[in-house]
Amino acid sequence: MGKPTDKMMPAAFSPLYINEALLDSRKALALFKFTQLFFPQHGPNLVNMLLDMESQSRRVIVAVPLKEREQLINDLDGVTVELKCMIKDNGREMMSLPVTLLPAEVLRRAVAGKLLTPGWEEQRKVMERIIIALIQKEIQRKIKLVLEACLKPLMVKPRLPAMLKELISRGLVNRNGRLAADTTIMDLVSGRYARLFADQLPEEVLNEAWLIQKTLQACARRSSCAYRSPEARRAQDAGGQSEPEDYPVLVQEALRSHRMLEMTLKVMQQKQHKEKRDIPEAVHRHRTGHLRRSR
Amino acid sequence: MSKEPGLIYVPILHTRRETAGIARSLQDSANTGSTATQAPGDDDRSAGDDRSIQEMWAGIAAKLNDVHLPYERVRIFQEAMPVCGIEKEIAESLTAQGSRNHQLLMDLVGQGARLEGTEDPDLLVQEYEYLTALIAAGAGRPELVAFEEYQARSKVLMEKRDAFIAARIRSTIREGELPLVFMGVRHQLDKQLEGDFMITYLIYRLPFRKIGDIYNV
Repeated sequence: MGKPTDKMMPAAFSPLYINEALLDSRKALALFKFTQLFFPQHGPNLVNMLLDMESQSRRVIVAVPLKEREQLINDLDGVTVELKCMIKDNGREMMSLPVTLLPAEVLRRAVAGKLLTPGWEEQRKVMERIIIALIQKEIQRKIKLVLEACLKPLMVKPRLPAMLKELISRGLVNRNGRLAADTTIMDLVSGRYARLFADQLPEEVLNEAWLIQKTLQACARRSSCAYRSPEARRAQDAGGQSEPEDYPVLVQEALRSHRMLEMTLKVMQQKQHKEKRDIPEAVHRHRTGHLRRSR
Repeated sequence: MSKEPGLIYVPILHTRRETAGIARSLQDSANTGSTATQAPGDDDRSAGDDRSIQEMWAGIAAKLNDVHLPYERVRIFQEAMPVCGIEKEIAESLTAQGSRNHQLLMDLVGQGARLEGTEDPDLLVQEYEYLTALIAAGAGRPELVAFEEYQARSKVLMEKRDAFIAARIRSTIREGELPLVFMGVRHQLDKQLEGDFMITYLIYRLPFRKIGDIYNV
């Protein structure tokens, strides 16, 4: 028998671990191509299988007779299945995706028609942040390549531009015209390479870089606050009571219920009055303004 | 092997425009004091939601069409439909005022299904009072506090409503008949019916994220 997980989620895809410093878009792309070549079905199938378990579980369980369901749940109670998918680069963990299943709980929630992965939203946010980081790294790499391509012809000239000399002396550009490994877009656009960047690159590229910078900033802002209402953010900032993330949705649903009930009760009153039928006592009280109930 | 009767469960949401439109229409015709709350900018903010929910109704209608139910043996149970003897008239009236939900009910009735009174009118009025109090409190108190109070009171009431509906379905359904249940996402009626019916969910997972969020409630 396996030990139950701390969170006791029936199907948890967590904790996801990504070492963003190691995550390299070239390696990620190469790995993707490798899996497509050698395991054309396995990768997508594993993910689909796990997602299907959530989305199709109700349909699957409904086909299992009641007694058999109960027997399965009893037999599987306490059993835990743990799968771990890990990618390492030179022995260092780059990414791991542990999957923990509590089969009895999966069955119970499927029978009740409940989602299996209540922590999915959190996991999705982590994935979103990682994808943005990956995009940022990829764009950064491409821009660096463009700038380095511009520097290359300058490096072979007998007289180096003063700015380039300065950068070389500070170790930010090497003798081959390559930028430092940790160069960021900010460095290029408005930081330590800004003058070189402005001098050497065509204006369109410069504008494009600004746009990319703004886009990434907007992306990062959206990622960090997309799921909190302005009211929730204000309350949190003021140190007050914070709203649950789904608060606006719940309030809207309550308002919708109110409207639908209002309509139904009004139509009921109108129809019953018209047809001279008996009106339920509670509706009569409602109509005549006696809203508080005695029972 | 146990042979449970079947039951088709359809989790639903109403569009804000649908409800607001009908409410405005009712106010114009009845002019009876109570007003529906419509915050400024609601229409813009909810346009995406409403489009998704309209897609949901189209999807439900298409799925029902696909499964070819024997409508002469189908009894429909609808959230917020009081047991009052004029259920069909209520559905007709709401359909005339733009409710996509009730329009679908009337289509099914047209194919031979029977629309049943589903909820205890007293409990519906109580729910309405709670919601009215919540909306009224929004002006003077922090909304979150009022909402938490409402949630606590409504949770107990919702259990009573679900218990009534479950008893109603059990007592109404005859052998060979098929209950088709349209229930809002806040209900947990399916829990109360487990063991009595083999529940089939018409839609397993709605194909848009925002509604998925509501399903986590």
